[in-house]
Amino acid sequence: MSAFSGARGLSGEIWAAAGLIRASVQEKLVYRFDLLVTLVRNLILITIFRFLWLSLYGGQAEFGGVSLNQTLTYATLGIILSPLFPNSLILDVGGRIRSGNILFDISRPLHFGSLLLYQMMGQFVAALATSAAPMFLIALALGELTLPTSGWVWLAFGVSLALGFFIAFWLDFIVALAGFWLTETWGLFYAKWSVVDALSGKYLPLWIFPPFLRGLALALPFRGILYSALAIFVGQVPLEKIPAELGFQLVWALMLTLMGRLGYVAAARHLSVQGG
Amino acid sequence: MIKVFHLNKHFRIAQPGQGVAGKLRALIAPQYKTIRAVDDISYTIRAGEIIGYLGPNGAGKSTTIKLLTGVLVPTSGEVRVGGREPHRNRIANASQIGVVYGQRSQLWWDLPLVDSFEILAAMYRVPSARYRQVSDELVALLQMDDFLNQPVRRLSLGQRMKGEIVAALLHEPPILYLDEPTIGLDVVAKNRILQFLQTINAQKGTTIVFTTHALSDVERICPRIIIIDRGKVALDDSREAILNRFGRMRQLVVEFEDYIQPVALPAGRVIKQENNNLTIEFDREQISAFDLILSLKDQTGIRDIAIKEENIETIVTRLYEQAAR
Repeated sequence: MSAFSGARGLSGEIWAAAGLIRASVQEKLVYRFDLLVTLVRNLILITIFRFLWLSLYGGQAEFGGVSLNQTLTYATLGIILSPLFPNSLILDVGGRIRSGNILFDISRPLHFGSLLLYQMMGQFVAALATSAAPMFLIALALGELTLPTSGWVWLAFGVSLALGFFIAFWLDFIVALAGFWLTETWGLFYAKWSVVDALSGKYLPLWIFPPFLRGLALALPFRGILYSALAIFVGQVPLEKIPAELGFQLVWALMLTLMGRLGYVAAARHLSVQGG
Repeated sequence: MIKVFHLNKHFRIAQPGQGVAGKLRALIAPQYKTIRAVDDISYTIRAGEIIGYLGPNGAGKSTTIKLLTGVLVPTSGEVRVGGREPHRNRIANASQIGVVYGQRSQLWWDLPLVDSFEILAAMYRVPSARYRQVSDELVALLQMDDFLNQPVRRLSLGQRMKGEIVAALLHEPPILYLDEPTIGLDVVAKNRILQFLQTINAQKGTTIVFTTHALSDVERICPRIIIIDRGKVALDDSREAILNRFGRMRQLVVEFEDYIQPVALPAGRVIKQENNNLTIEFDREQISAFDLILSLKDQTGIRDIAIKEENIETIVTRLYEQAAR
């Protein structure tokens, strides 16, 4: 009888993760037309928001302590980066539960959360290489972006983006777990999409929110998805406050990871008792 | 290797209620019905066995596979696979088993077949050199070279099923579960796959559990057959014993050009005769279908002939009839 020969422990986990990341990168690259559509869509959005902000600023160079250049950079970068973050896992998971293919996902020698996490990391890498990076260069050439001058800001921006990914993923995963109980997931998908769009600061910087809403938005984890990285990039988070901003993201990333893991235990129990 | 002892799996299903009033009532006070998908099953499967797990649709075959893979938790009773309880050690169990579901796909639809193999090998942490060795061997056995680089969505059902089986074997699991792997396959593809399973079992000693509702699938490769019906084991016996009891009877259906004259058969009996159609049941040990047809040559022209094997539904029915007697 043949024994299982695979590597175990951390190196095994990394081996498995690398395989899954590579797989989703390949999968994304298959859809060339999709990539083109995203590129065009982003260009249109950037143009719309440019004119919107120009007219709102009404010829002034500054508004409420934020310069036009900062705002334009924020808006453009928000549009470019937001496709990097998982936001529709619930449709995916819901679909796999309805079709029964979830059977395979939960018979793997891997936690279900890790399986999805690695796949989404692959999509992140693919989207970064095929959409975000080229869009960044195009936007730069069009003069839409003002770059930070400090190397520390660049570094913090990168870390913040990575933490934002984990927050986005685990939030998305927790919502997706609802698919184990619900048969219809579109409603929840739209609700979550709207909340994330508004509270992550994707289109509107949180500093222009009215005080009450701003307080709420700053307290919730959604801000850690995108707003933190963008605010750091455009210099709205002063250098000395960057560690606190990253700390906020880290705490939420860890808490959501824990919540996701616990939530999955409950979801798996429901599935295995009820048979889905 | 696999031990199942007084195993039960019951589902509570909410009844939607009939009509608007019924559905409204079900919304407030749902009515539940308990379904005994697996009902007090016990058996032991030794390492290296090939088991034909036979039963009509809805008999509890898939539920059993899901209990053995650890996806479902038993309502009561015991399951042990390689000494472990699958649902308590799902991840450890996962690396010891391969699973193929005939009606589902574990392959990446848009990627070439070989990519799916590489991804799965990584997921199961198979070292590269070992992966190459195993996949080369399996691919050669099933003659898959010419479609290895095609996207899965362009494969025929037979090609895809070969891919599914190789995908389940890349990490060299000691146990392979196949849930209706032959469904919808043509005879050639089916035979190639059955032969392959036999080879794998002989060469690697893989324990195979194979569910199907066609007796002809399992009679060739499974020395032991378990028939289940409505969640219970109806029969657990050797292939020879089961074929002797049930596998010998065939039906010959003949359509004639004209009305049929009374016939004298050398063997078998007429079980149905209407208009131009005649159905004869015969024991293939007593007479061959060919001799039986020859005995009908005095009739007016024969338009069409069909030979039917006994299907699992009639076997199960006969099992109950015999038990009642």
